[in-house]
Amino acid sequence: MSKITREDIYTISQNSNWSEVGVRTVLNEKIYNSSADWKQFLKLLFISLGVAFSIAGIIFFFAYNWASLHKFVKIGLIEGLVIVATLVALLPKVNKLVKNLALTSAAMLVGVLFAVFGQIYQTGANAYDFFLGWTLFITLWVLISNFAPLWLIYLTLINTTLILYAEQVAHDWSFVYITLLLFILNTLFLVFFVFLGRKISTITIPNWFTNIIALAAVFITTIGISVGIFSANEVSFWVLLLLTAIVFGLAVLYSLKIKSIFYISIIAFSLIVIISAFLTNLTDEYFMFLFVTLFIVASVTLVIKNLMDLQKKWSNE
Amino acid sequence: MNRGLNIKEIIQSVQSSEGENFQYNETAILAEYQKKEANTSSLAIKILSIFGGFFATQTFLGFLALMRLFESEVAILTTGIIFIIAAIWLNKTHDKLIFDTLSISTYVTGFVLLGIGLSGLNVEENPLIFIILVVSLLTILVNQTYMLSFIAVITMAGCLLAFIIFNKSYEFFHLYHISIAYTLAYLMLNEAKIITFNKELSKLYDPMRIGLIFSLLFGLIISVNRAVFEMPTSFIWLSSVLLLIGVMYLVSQIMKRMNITDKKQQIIIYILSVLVLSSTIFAPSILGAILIMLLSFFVNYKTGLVIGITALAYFVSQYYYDLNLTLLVKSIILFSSGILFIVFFLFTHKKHIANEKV
Repeated sequence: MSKITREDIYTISQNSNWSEVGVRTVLNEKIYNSSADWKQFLKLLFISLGVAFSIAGIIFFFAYNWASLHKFVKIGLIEGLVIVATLVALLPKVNKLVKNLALTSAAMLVGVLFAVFGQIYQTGANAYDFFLGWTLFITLWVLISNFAPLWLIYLTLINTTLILYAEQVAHDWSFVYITLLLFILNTLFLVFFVFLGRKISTITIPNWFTNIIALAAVFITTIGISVGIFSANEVSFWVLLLLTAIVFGLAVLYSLKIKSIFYISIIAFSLIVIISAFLTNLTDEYFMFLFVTLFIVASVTLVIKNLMDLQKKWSNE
Repeated sequence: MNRGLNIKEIIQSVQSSEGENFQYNETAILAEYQKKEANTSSLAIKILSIFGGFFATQTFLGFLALMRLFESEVAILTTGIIFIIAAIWLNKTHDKLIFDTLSISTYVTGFVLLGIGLSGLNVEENPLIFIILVVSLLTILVNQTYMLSFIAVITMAGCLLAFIIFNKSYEFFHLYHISIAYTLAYLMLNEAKIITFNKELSKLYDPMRIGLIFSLLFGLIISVNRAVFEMPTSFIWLSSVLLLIGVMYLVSQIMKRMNITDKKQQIIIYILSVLVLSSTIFAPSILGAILIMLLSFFVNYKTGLVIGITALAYFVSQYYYDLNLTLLVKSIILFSSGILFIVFFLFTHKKHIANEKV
């Protein structure tokens, strides 16, 4: 018998008089986990629990003694961990994934180091320079790593630094202006990575990575434009609107060229939200809400239908 | 087309093992597969559809609110009931994805309105919870689609929990944990029996399974965070002991599957398991998570496995966080447990190697 899935069993048994014994036998033999699977699972379970509990025990031990540790010991300890992690990343015999994970841990430990530094010396400074310092210091590692999760952490740090700077220092920046800057930042990174992936064949940029950046960019501009619709008129709003229109248009064209529905889907959703916000702002009358409801149902249905048709067309080519 | 041939092959082998009495409805089976194929959509589309359904329902509520509907409790109540009935009807008659998500949104909103309307009419808590319970039950009896049945199961469990909390009869938590845990175990270990019983039950199997898992988790989370609810901590070990019995039964089933027939080995494994798990006597949540994890792995139910493992990580962390001991003692306990597990690992690893050599 070729591969049979649970769904197959359910479908067939719902439309036949397959006996209980028969179904049970097939389930036991084809679906349920075998003795070998259990051995594998238990081994993995025990080693994971063992490592997790041991590390937790060590961390708790340090936490217990933390207050009484001398400041040189505290900083020295974390710097030691950073050095160990970096050395592991440099060892030739280690496989690539472990190297990258070690480098990522080193990058996170740099953050911990700065946090401890701030705690000891009570720098009490604005949080944004903590993030700024962290970002700058791991830049070199991120550039040489070619490791998507590390890049994602890096981009998150850059965004966080910008947001905190706006909150703590640049008080005269409006909300829409901040979203404009964030949108430009993330879109530039997105375009950079997409082109990098297409032009240089030796580097592969994972789809989930560019998708997350795209999602963030679209999310930011959707919120920016929606808030901008409801608030006072300002230059940044119109700049954001224009920029978004251009970027969305190019993204849809690109999406059609590479035959992926992802960008089109999130852009469609963003447009539906923006148009709904626009309609709601037009008038306070009750019939507008009803109109918006119908608009959402109709537009989502249309978009989904067209997307599914596009997908079918592409998968049949 | 590949799928079609595959199905025919499978049906042939079922027929050969079942014998002459095997009857099947080939057109219905093929029709279902075609329907599934037509409805496959990527994650992006699914999420788009969920948000679409959600926003549409909310703006419709906004419209009703602006129509001054919500100044009358009876109006709220009626709207709630209409929403629920509409959701069930929509789900039963239409198969497209957008109607699916729209009906889910409408269904949940209907319940919220029902609750608000009833409480506005000064209905007492117990009858109110009872009404919601009955409506959810009716939903499952009338309609067996996946999402609505799942929501209905969780709502029923929520009602049971609400009964316990509002009446401050916290002893019943034990009854709740045990009934749900044992029902879940029975459900998951007797898959064949239930899905061959009748077509409705077969369709309800999946949503009931995941619904019960979530219900058990909710109950455990609430009982773990009892400080929030100011619950007395008496007899907490009762749940743990009964759950431990459940886990032990599962261990016996696992040993049978792993062909461990040597009596001495079986006894050693039983004793070790009881010893290790008895350290969680005051944390039935950990035992519940272990039960979910082992059951899911036994029947190869990946979603349940992931939920079980995540719940286990969460409950163990919370247990140690809440433990009223100094950090030093905690670190010693954690480290020695870690070493113990590594010893278990080496033990199973050695047996594995030894068996491979044979």
